[in-house]
Amino acid sequence: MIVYIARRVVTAVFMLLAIAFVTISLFFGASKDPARAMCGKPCPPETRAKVSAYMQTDQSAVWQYTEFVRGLFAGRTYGEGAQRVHCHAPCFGYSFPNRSDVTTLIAERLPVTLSLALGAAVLCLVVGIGLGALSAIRKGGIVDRFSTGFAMFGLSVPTFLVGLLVLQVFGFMLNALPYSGFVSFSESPADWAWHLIGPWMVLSFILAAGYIRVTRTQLLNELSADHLVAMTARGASARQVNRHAVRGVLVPVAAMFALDVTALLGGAVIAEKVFSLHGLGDLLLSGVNESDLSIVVGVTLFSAFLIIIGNLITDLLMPLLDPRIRRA
Amino acid sequence: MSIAEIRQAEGRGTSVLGRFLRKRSGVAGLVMLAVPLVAGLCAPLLVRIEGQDPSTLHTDLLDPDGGRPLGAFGGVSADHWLGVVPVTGVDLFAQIVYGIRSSLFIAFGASILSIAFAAVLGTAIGYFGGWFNAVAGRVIDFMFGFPGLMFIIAIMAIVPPEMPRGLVLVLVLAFFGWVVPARVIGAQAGAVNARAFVEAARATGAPPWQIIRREMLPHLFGLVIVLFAMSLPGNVSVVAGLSFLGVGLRGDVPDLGKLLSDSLPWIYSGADVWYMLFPGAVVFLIVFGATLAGDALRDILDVRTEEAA
Amino acid sequence: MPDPVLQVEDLCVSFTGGGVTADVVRDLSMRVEGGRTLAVVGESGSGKTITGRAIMRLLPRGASARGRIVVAGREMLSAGERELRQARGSDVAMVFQDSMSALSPYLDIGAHIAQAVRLHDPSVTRRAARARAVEMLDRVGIPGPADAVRRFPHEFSGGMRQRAVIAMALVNRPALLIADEPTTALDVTVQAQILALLRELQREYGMAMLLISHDFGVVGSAADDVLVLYAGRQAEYGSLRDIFDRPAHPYTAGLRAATPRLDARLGAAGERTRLRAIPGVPTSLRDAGPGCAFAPRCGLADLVGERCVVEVPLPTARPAGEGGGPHLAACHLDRLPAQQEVAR
Repeated sequence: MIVYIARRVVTAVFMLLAIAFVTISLFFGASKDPARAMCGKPCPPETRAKVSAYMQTDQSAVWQYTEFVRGLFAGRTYGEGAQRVHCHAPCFGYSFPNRSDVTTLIAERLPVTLSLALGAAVLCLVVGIGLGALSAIRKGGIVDRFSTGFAMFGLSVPTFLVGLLVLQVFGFMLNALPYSGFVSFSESPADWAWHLIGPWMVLSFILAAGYIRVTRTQLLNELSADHLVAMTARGASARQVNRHAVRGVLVPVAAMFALDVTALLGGAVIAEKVFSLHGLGDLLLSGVNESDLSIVVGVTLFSAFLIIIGNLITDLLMPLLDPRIRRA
Repeated sequence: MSIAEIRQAEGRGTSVLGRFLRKRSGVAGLVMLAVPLVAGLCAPLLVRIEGQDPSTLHTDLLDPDGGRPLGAFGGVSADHWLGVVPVTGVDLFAQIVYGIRSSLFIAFGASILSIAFAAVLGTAIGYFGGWFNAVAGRVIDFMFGFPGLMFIIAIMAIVPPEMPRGLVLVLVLAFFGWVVPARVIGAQAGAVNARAFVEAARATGAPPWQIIRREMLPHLFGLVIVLFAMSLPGNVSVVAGLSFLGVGLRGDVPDLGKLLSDSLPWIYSGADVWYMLFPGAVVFLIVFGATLAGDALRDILDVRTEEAA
Repeated sequence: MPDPVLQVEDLCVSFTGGGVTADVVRDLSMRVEGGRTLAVVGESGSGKTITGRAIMRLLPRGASARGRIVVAGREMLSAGERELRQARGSDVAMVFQDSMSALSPYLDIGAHIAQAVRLHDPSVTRRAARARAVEMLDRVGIPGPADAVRRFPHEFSGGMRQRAVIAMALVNRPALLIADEPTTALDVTVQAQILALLRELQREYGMAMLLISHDFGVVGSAADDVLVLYAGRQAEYGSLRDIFDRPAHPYTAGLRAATPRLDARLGAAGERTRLRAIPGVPTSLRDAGPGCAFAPRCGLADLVGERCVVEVPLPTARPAGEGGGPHLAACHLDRLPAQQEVAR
């Protein structure tokens, strides 16, 4: 068991480093010089070189990489003297156009992303498992047919279409929901939820599809599984058997949920754009539009890290749910 | 044997096409996909029939105050079948049919590339197994660590202007598209490789290539086709999504996602549903149709596409 | 004659789906007394598993049973849900073919057995139930039972797992055990051990056993009486000796000829016996026409003529050996010709 944990942790750390390397060498190695944008319109070569040295973009990709990794743990300092800026310990880079370290920018956006992610996650879990279970129990019934179609829509229709539709219908035609903006939870929980219902609906509509399918097929498998027939043969009631069947559904659902939540925490770019929410995805887009590579790299790596850490946690928790993985 | 099983058993033996045509959802999906596909293919012809082109600005059809199209349904008329685009007055129908072309071209290209690579890699994983499987598995795990869409957005942001963005899109989508199919094909190929007839072929001294071609590929063909069909709608929506975010195709190339993105401000101002609805409906037709058809194909070819966790 | 533990009269099981009804078991009757074993033999699809499930009222969705089933004095087909639950696992228990899928992957072995105990006697504490589990595992010959209760199904070998399933089935001392192909998934050496264990426990507990199998070898080593099923109908019924030495149905004779016999070489001097396959494939239940289901594959149908195709043969009495019960065969031929000619 300890060997298992250790191996997973080591693998995860290794993946983090590798992904950081690929990302940094790709973006700082292959792109247009970020210094040019900072240097201003008339940009004589000497000034540009100076700016480049200040931003530390004149160095090799390997140097960038080691500095970045060091910055994550120890912080990083740019420039000297009066122009000296320091980027504190989990340093995901420094955005010169914004005069702020990327970690701070990410932290500013986190409440929005977190609100969006958690609400959508809860909603899609409830809807997905609920509909999936109902359709499995009454296979071929009305609920089943409805949710199979529902799942098909959710799995295929792009987020922005659903988003635009929800915005159009609820925001404008019915005037039932606010169509943009964010109110922090501490300010007013009711307003907070009210402003997020639209994006929650959209994201959970997209995500619930997967849960409907997995819950349905898994529960159908379980309900016809021999070990549940055997349980009935031992004299268990239908309710006891159903309760046990849930166990088999839990494992794949939990694995899927972990992946979805980490992906959501990394930023829901399209939903944020549709509903004009300023979360992590929006931060990435603004980095893209302003050609601010520090932000692009920082946000991308941040969500990559979330995914890897999420996977790690899942790997460590799964054996608790499924004894078969325990001694693997 | 239950009745359903008996029925299913009867279904075997008839041709794949015959069984597909008997499946209502599959046929519906195919039709939904075929309409925009044909429209895209025949875009120049259709636009000539309409008597328009995708770039002429018809400012005379716009409300001079605010730039909204005049007339009902966003300016739908005999001359402009789906109306005109606000502010510019470009013919929407022409924009859409040409936009289908670029979206489908990129999506098909990316799907073909990624599934072809996945098929080759997956077969190799299944055939060689052992250390090759271990190494490839590591690479695949590594690819899973990437936040796909974020990464694609980031890459599209640094594409040098002199590079053709369409081609870059194809490559980037293919680069992230092979991962899951490769794992699924690899697992299936491994299972096929372990079966007795492959063992038997090996025992008769058949060379590796022959084993792969004659014994393994026929058993993987259905899976590859289904994976291709299933990857297509995903790629269409990512292409449109990227344009929607403003990082897809640039310039004056007609593009579905760009039309939708441009329609967003008009939603905020509470008008011109049609500008969003027409291109939106087309994207929906393509994506949903391809999904339905792919799903039907999966049922018919009876392949499992879920990963064995 | 003592009261039977299991009595089945005119059992019919039919599947309904998509507006079609298919009978998978028709007019089946049998009786098993305590301490005795009735083997139900047939090819796959002959309805033998469904028969076993019907007795426990464990039929899949869309299937319904008619007729009469009495287990330990309890009418199973008219029993309510609560009554059924009482019967299952304590009056009648089941051993499945695939021990892996018969056990929940999420519970350890002890939990399975303890569950069986506590479902029928909630007054037993968890601790006591697990103690019973250890006892039972020891009884079925699992080494280190105190340790084994905490292991999960996937950690056992096939033979050990089947022993655990047997322990689980027998922990409440059922009057009737339904063993559905209990040894099919096992290695031959392990098969013999499991069969021996079942016989031994049967003798100890005095329970009746319904052994469902397709394997004449297994049947020969474990059964007292044999019921041969063909296409959901009773082809032949009789004591083991009757079935083996005096088969009165061409299908039974064919099965015998298709089964290797250790004593064959000791038969008539120099005479070489060859294994024979029964030609054709098992009759689909849907194809069932008015006549004998076996007629299309029967080498003797020509001897009888048209009657085989138009009239369903009913089980009628045949000569029986001493000590056995009735010997019935459902064939229009009263006597089979010499054995070697049976299958063409």
